[in-house]
Amino acid sequence: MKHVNLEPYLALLLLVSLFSACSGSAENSGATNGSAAEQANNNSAPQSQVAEGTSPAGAASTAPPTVQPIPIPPPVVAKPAANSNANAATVETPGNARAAKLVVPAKKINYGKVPQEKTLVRAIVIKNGGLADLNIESVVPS
Amino acid sequence: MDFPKVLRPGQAGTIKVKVETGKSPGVHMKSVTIKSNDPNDPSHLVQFEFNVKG
Repeated sequence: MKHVNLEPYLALLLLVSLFSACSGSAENSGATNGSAAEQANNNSAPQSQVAEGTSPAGAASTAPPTVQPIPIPPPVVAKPAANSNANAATVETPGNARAAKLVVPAKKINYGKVPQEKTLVRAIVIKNGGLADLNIESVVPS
Repeated sequence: MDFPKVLRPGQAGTIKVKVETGKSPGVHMKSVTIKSNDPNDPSHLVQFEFNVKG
């Protein structure tokens, strides 16, 4: 006896039955306008789309559009660093990182009491606190 | 005015300053300006204060 392979036919039959089932439910929903209207009153979007596509007129158009509010995130305020102003005076630009730096012990030197008509000779100690050679161009009285 | 022309990094030097006290007694103020290649302080002012006895 010859064995007949029925698998392709079964698959085709299954596809046809599925297609007929889907088309049949659409016809049923279109025939009952009341159920379509009830579906249109629901808030879920997919059901309202089905009602618009299947109802002839009026039922879907009366359903109010649903608006879902989108939460607005709070504005992000950039906070400055806590010590940004405190370190502002000590920040050096990259160009001056290896420059010379004149270090003088004091801006004002007090010699105290001195006699009249004398020539005082005093020494000011200066230092190069930088990373490059310090060139003293001039020292002039002002 | 006697001063070093070049100071290496970390090196110290002395500037000799001569001050004429004058005849008039009282507090006097003099100053010198040190000009160098320091980019942040190219012209540094140093003041001297002294009190001439009468």
